[in-house]
Amino acid sequence: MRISAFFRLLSLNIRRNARNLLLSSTGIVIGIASFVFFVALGYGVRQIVSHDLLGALPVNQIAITPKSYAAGMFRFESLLSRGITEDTLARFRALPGVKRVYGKMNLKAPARAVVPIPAFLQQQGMASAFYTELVAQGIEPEAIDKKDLGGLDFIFHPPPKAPTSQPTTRSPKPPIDRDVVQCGRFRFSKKPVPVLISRRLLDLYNSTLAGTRGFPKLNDQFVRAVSFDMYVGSSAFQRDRHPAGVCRMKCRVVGVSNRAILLGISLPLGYIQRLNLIYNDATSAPTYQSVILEAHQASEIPQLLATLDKMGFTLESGQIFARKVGEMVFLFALVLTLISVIIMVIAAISIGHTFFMFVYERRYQIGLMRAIGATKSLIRRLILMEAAVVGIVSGALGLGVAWTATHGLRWALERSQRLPFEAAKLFSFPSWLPWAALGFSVLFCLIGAFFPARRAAALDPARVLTEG
Amino acid sequence: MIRLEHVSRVFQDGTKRLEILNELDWSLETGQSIAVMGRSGSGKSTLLNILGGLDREYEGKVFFDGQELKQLNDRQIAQLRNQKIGYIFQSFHLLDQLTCEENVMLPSWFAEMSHDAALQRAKDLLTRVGLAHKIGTRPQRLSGGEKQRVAIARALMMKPALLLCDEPTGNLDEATGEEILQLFLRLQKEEHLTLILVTHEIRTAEIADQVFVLQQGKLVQGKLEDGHAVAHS
Repeated sequence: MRISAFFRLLSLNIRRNARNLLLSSTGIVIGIASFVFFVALGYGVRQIVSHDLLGALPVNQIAITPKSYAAGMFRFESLLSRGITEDTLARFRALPGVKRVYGKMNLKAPARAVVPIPAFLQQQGMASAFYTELVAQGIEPEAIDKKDLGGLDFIFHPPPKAPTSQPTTRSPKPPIDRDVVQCGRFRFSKKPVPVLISRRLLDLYNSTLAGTRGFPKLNDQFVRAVSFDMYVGSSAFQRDRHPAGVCRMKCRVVGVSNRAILLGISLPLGYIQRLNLIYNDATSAPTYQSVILEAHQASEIPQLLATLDKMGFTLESGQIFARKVGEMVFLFALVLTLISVIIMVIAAISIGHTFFMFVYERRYQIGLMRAIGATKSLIRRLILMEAAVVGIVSGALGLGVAWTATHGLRWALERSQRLPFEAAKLFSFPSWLPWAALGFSVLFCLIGAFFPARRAAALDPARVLTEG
Repeated sequence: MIRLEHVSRVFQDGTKRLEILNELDWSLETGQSIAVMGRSGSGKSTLLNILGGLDREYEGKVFFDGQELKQLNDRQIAQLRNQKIGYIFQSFHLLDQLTCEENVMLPSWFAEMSHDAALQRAKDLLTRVGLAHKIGTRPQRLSGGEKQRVAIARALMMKPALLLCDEPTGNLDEATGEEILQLFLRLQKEEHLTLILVTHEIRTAEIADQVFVLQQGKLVQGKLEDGHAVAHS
């Protein structure tokens, strides 16, 4: 049969039964809409929980800390644990399956910051500056995703080499180097210290503080322009300055990252290592609070965790929680998705009934077509193709309903400003979802039309044409 | 052209066994026109369906141009029906959603015939059956006679060798039926058709070269007498 003739017949049949087809495909539309809605919700919530709320890592990475034990109100590290030192990192690097190791080190010194607020924000009611106690953490620059930096550098700027002072009779004092900041026995480059802030922190500001106080919402681009002064060795909570003095450093935010510490700032590890040497006992070995281990493959993680357990290390508590929450959300989304699949199964039965009715109504047409040259397989293909078209249209309608519902809900939640995260992230549409929705829709319509198509093909033309 | 060897057809009605055709031996040469008559339920339509390859649940053998129909697969029998056999039914069986022209072209949709050639043939046939002015009209707007003309044009679309007509004038008034019969005669000559008419109407049977009567499962030569078809003794 000519393709054009086949589609002509197809379009005639669909147009003839358009209303009934539309009615019977309502179930598929609802099923697809709920499927897309729940999958997008599941993905969105999972992403929010694991990446934004808990800062989960890619599947081939884990964050580990020394094991600790709860006793009453307190937690204690294992007696065997001596913290994470450079030696520990070297042992981790030597473990089979480990690709890279990134240490995280906290600043063990009081610090505070003074953040000047731009004029346009002051016009909207903000103060001229923002004073805050500061928690800082050092992280290896390689651990940061370049996408979080917007083209800026997150590196330790080494200080220029110290000039060799040659005392002369004219100038007994050494020359003043304007390119360096001298802190204790260390020199730092005068270039601003690159700083990262947590994406979660930015989301919290945008979703709560900005809305309730009437401040503008901030994006990555704006945050990357923020500069401030950090005073290490000084604290609003301490009356006296640190004996090592106060070191004032110019900082600039260069990115927003899930890897950054939640309440505080993250700096390239080199700065923290030097500052800790200034403000702590320089003879004791520097220790890391946690380590990110990157495996060659995600499948190697369970074995790695078992080895680390024997070594006295465990997943960071947040990560354990993230994994559990991730699993719960996945299960929840799975149940809802199953419900939508059940809706589609019921809809397929309804489609089946409708097509049985069509076959009955069109039995003379089918009989005639068989009498004048249509094969059984052509009749079957014609009915199944009608079902496929109904599936495509229902799938597209279902996608449209889901899109409208998700965007409507986002809009309503954004207006309510009650979420501790951006409402836009509540639904996440993986690229395969529309195709899967259309595929499911077509599949269930084909399943529904399978038996009617068989019946149509098996119709006895002699009988139907004689009875007509 | 057509040969039947020991053809029987039995229908089961509950526990009752109805033997419609009984060890039928019969043949038909190309270019002949015959009328098959008989009482209601005598098996006229059943015979027509077997000859046209629509009913294949018979016993015995049916040959069409030397090919045994039961030996053909679904695709081959569909092709045979499309290329060599034309059907005309009492109820016309036109598709309401198609125009007259498309209804006539319908058999060409199941064949490897170009659209242009099919269109040309359909227009020519509609002109020959006197419906050139109804080309774009849908069947709902046609009279019974016009519908049957469209059905005749459709049956001739693929230039068949055999035309099977099941009560072609059964749903038409006398005058219209007469017009249709004259059309049959003209087209049979023009297209060199073998014609089998199943009818219970004497006036329809009169146009055929021979009359056969189906009685007690057997097909016997007959003649028309006093408004009745009677079997030769």
